[in-house]
Amino acid sequence: MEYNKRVEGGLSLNAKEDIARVVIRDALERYKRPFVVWSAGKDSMVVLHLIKSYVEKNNMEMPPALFIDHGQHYDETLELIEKISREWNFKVIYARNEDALNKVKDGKIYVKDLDEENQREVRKIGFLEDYFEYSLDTDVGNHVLKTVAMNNAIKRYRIDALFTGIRWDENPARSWEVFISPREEPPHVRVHPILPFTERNVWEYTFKYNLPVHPLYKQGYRSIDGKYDSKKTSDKPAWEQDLEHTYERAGRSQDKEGMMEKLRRFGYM
Amino acid sequence: MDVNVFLIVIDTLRRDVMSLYGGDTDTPFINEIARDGVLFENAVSSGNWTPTSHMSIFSGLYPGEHGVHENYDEGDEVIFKKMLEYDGHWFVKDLYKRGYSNIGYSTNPWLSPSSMFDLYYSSFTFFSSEYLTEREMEAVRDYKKYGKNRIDATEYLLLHGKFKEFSHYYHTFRWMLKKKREYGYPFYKASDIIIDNILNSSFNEPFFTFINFMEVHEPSSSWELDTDDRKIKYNDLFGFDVIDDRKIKDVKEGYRKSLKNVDYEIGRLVNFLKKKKMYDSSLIIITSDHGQAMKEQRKIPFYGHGNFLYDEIIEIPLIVKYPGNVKIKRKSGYQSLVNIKKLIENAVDGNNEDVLTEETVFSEMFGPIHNLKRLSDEGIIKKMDNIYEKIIEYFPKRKAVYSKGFKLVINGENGEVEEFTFHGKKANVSEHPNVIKNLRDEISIFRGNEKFVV
Repeated sequence: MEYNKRVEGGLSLNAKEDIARVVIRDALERYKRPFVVWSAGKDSMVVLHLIKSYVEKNNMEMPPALFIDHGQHYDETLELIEKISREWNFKVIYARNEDALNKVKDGKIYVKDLDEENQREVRKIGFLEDYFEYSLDTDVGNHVLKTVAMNNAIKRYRIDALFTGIRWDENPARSWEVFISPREEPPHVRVHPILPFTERNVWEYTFKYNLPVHPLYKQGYRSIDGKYDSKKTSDKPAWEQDLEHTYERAGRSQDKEGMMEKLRRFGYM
Repeated sequence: MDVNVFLIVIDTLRRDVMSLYGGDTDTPFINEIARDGVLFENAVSSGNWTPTSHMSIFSGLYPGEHGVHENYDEGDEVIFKKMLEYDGHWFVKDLYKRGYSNIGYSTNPWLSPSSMFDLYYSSFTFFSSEYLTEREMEAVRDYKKYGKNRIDATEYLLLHGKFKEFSHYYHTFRWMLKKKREYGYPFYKASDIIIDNILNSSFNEPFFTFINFMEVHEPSSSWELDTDDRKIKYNDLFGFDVIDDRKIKDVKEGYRKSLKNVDYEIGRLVNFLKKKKMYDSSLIIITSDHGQAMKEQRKIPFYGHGNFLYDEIIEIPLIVKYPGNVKIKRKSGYQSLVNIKKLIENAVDGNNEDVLTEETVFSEMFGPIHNLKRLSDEGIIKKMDNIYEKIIEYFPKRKAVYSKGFKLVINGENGEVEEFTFHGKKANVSEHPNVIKNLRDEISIFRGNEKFVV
């Protein structure tokens, strides 16, 4: 799939870091209960590190991280989450849609088995079948296992600002996002400090500050989430691939025609 | 069809006195509403006095979120300003936009036009019950000038031709006597006028009616009348002038009688609604903004509310009669005042599931509710040179969390555990390391960016 990436190509990495710090400062000053969505992937690792440096410098508390646990993570991801949160000393909240995860039968989730709230969510995104696969390949699977889990955590922990690592150049649906973006249901703001970072910038930042790297990137994955919906894009390490002329999320099913846009309409990142 | 809503806050009502919750004061009229509705057994107020809690009810936010709360330096003196500045979520506004006619009655000065609490109401009536009590107090005080007892004073006034004064005192005392006979307690807090008003109103449906009854709020006994309540409370608390058991007994008695009186007035309202065929279809919420400590056995025994997060101050009644008298399925957990907004919003949308209950709820305070420095400087309470040390020692920022039967209160100045209980009974910190860790984590997440040691 080809599209015109929105690329901020003129600014240096230093300048983009400065922008990120301004966004972080503004959000941390104005919001009381910030969280960082963290998947141990390359982008959220950068956001987490930028926030960590900022709060350490300003003698503030590190916001907790929100890990969306859809039950299909690579073991390496879970190990990394555990290891880094222990070493960097911050809390991780595992956001899980327990009801949906408990109702998986032979790889399927039947809508009638779900609780009232989940049934409402399934219908809300326009899914009318009796069951769906326990997979992140579909919009309904993505919505129930990830967005609903995330929204429930936002409500449960009264989160008013949620940092995420989305970037303009990732996907057309994300390319017009703003730095601090208010959301209605549930009410909170999304904070996007690294919007102008390109994929290349993320790797530059990672190596500049020697951040931990998820082992799968080295094996050729460029975008990592569930173990069944992420695919290698090459056998070369992610940072050695042709980042500028190929598509970063080619290995991800979320980016099928229009799906990301729909997911975002219902609260996805 | 749009639902009519009654939100009745019985100011300062702790739940353990009510027979509904196992206490010794029967409230037959409230019981009747509870029979048609749902009794929530674990409601916790988000703050410990009127402004913080009421702001939570109407905004759906905890005190630390809506920002209207006491602090170490200024106590109540900044509250009106903060209330006026608040510009966030407010369900009365949303109802107004939906075409609801909003009607408010209050006898609590914090909930009056002075704090712009009347905004978005088509009619908001504030009765200054404090003024009535003051007038009575003044009369009692003045009368003593004319003689050492009532007979002497009356003789003096009549012999000196002061007929106008005599007439004034005569009517005041007669009126007080009448109230005393009617209600069995000497303080008139206008609940009957509120109900009279409602009974004589015409209703534009759909409507939302908010009532704050001050009946059980102190003063509850006659010994409190002559003295500034702040003087009584803080001199007792610091050990300068201790309130003895007999006085507390009087307080408890007055408190119960006041509750009986409010109950009676609520009964009049219910009868009226039934007659008008508005009872069954209405959402009726009966709750409180905080309880009242009556010198229970605590590390620092205290009479009043605010200043602490003791069970008797933050555990409140919550009774909800849903439209159509449906008995909804309760979730297990705790109810917070911050969810009343959602309850009302859902009910007017025709949705009656349990949105009140959560697994974990909080209560928080940010210092004493009065400006103790000023009270001490002006001699209203006994002068103390080390007042700031006392404030930090007695009234540090505190947060309470309730979860799975446990309650934990943390002192935010030093992170120490002040209280740890399981179903209301003292629990041993060292026996439950995991519970303590989880509850500390809950508080540390809840604290967010606030400077609060956990």
